[in-house]
Amino acid sequence: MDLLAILSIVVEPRILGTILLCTLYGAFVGAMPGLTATMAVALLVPFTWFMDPVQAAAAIVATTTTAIFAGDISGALLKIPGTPASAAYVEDSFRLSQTGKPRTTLFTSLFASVCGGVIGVAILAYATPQLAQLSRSFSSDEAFWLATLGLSCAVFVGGPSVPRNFASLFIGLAVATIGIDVAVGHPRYTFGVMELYDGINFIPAMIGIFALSELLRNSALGRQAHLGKLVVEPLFSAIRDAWREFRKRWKNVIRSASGGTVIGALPGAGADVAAWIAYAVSRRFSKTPEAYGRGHVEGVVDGGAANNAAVAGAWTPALVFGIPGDSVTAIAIGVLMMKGLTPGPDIFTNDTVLVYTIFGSFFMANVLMLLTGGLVVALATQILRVPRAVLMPLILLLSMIGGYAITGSVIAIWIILALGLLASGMIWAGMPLAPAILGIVLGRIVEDNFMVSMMKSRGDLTEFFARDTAAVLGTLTLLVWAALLLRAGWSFFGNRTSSK
Amino acid sequence: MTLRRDFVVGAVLIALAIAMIWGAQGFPRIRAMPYGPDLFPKIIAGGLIVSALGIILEGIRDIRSGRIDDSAGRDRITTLAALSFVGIVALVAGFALLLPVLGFHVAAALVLLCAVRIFGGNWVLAGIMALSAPVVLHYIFYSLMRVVLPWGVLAPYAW
Amino acid sequence: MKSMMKTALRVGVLGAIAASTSSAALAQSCDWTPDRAVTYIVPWGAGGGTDANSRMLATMLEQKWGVPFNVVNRTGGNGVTGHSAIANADPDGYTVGAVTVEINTMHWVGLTDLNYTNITPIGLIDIVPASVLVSKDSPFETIGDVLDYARENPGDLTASGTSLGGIWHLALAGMLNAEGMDPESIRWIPSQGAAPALQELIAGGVDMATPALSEGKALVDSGEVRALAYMHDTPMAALPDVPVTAEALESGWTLAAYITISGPEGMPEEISCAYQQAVEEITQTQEWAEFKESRGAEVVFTGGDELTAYMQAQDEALGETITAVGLAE
Repeated sequence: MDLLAILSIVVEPRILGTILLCTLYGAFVGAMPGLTATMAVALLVPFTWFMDPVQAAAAIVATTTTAIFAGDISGALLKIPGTPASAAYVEDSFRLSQTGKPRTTLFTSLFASVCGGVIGVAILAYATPQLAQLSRSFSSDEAFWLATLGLSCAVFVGGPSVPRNFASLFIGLAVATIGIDVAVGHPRYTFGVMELYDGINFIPAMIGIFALSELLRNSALGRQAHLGKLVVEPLFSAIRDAWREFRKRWKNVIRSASGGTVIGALPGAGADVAAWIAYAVSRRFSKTPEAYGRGHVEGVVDGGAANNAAVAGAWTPALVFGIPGDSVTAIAIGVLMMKGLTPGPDIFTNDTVLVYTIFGSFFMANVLMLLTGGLVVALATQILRVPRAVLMPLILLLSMIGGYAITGSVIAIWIILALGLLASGMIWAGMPLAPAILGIVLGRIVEDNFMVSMMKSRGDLTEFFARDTAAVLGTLTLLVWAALLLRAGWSFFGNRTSSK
Repeated sequence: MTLRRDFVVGAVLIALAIAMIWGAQGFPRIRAMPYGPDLFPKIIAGGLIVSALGIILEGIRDIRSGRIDDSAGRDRITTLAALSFVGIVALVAGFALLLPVLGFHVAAALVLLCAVRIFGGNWVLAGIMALSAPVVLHYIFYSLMRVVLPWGVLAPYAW
Repeated sequence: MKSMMKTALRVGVLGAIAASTSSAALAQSCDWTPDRAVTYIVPWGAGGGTDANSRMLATMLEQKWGVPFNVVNRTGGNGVTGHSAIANADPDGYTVGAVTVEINTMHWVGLTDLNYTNITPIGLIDIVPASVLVSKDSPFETIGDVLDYARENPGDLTASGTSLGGIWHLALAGMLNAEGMDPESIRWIPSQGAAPALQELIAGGVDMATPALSEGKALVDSGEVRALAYMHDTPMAALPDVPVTAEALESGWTLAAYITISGPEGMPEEISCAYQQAVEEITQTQEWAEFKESRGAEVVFTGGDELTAYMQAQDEALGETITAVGLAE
């Protein structure tokens, strides 16, 4: 399949038009709180019936790609991460936009996302068979180790106080235990509320922890506290600054994008996990790790590149096995099958054109996202010019509708309220919020896979090292955790003696 | 504020951990295995207790090193600010309770009316917001994005 | 689209359960039509089989009646949340939902008191048999091999496909029980749905999986897994070479899940029969047939009293199985 042939399909007006429309649609949906990429794709399905397979795949791909990026927009402007994938760096992007650089931040994030997406597609196009081989060997043992490794990010995304970081992580993990357990199906800490049986939904949880706690903090500042209007910088200087910022960090982008693609391709880990790990790695290797979580653009670049790359990676198991990596690819598989195409190893030989057009559409969607994403950023940042007495009530209402849209019931609003109060308490206690979110995201994955593995091996812990990939991952995880705990203990007690 | 913040935080976390362990007592076991759904809650509770002790230790360390507790001054909040805080909490709870009964338009209008006042807007602004924003948001979420927002009392006029 | 509907071919109804609904009963005034948006509740998440079938039907109802049919995924509590929401809604025709086979299982395992008498069945739109899948490297060639091995080495083999006590778990445990074996002789490894279970199967984490046939179809086609059998009484067009358990097993055990469109309890006859007519017509279109074929499923429709009787029979049969395998509360 030569590149020219693919390109000629993708730039065909019908396909190009579809991609353009869908990037606009994805940007709009992603920027609205509570409207997820999954919802956007589900609503798209009826339209795909009138499309040919190439066009349908292009539409889904373009919508997802931009929706994941656009999640950054509401995150930076309103502190409501549009998708869980934006949660890792929402603290940074929000603070940056509060200091008068909303457009620079979002354009930097846009450049990183586009670049991350393109790198993701490139890897996908060249390495799908190899990535598939890797994900083929993933059972609950490997997934458990990967998630446990992910939990170690808590140390990097937190604040200076080690016990507070861990307390925050454990609070998040505690929230994640709510709901039916996987092993015996027993409801835990649900107090008889049926709708909690499936656990605390991420989106209302994030809205509560980030957005409501921010609103509560704002209201506690009181009316008398003079709230100055926020500055929105001119469009062109913002783009110029963003480009400069982005060019300085191209190494970060390449690192995070390639890592993000691999993580996205692994079963049980998606764009959100990719963003967290990229953010933590970025902080670990940064020259200014102390600036993270306080409005540092480096974390935004890394996280933004990683989650868009992971979106591409998630298609690997879907295309190669027909196993959906997430709910978006689950719907995509359904659509492809309706077009008479069965995902699987054969799709690479039987429908080569289609497979490479999917890659081509990914590429085009990312390029066009520069345009449509930029447009939405330019428009959306206008809302910061709105007076606070208008903006804050709107954010409050949007948060609650967003939660309601996810669960279809008011349980989401109660979750928002409970976690908003919890987060307010944590802020008062001086605890960082990021480790708690990480705990909520990963808690279930860690526990479910642990329990499944234990049930398979009938309680034999050595089984966690019985498989090759698991043994490597497990050893690595244990080493990382041992090093982290030793260092934490040493600095904690070392500090005490020195301060005496 | 005579109690140090660290001690309060530590005590609350330990109380939470004990509640978790207590709540996990009745969980059933997996057949022929020494643990079940109670394993992770208990590990997490243990982690909370260790972290809480760490936070308390930090507090003791700060006292010994003579560092002053800066939390007391920072936490001095005015009655008005406290009222705003409680007001927002009440608005969210009220919205959750009233949404299914009154329907989206009415509940959202009420929330906006109060919220604009809490964030310092005048009655005119509050009125304009309450009348316009729900209609726009309803169009976006209900008509465009197919989110099923309840109609409540407006059900006879639903579309 | 509209023109396509008009010229839609009326295809003969395939499958064992034919659309032979008593049309005499429908002769009364069935001309109710909605004049505003209808809410379509789906108790399971986006991306699954129930979601796909229901969204397809919702879109076609929307075209037929010209009002929006808004699908809302009310997940939670292994289906209890969504089913309760359907049962408790106003029976005014503006809320319908996808009631699935779990209405016949969840009250037996003690999740809820809700059962099929708390809803108004409108039409059965999908039947999915359980499959018996092994990885492509598996030593087992037939379902008989698997059962013989499990009989001699009880507890050695593991299987997955859904949560503990979920319908695909019942499929396995019920089959073992029907064959006179201990339902635990193949251990059940719970999973959050079919996709992680199939991943485990491919990665060699479990020995077999018994998910919905439609969920495993893509992997069977791609050769990653082999289908040893599926738990149905009549062969399906999608997998002509794979034996059905009704023939392959002495006990003749079968288990198929179903998806219906149903209304809340006490839905007036004129509304439910209007829906039933509309849905039946939709299931006879070419478009619906193509959709079904893409999922490896067959076009089915059963409505009204016949469906109620079917659900009642299922309820009794599944209750017996659940009690026999020791999952009853």
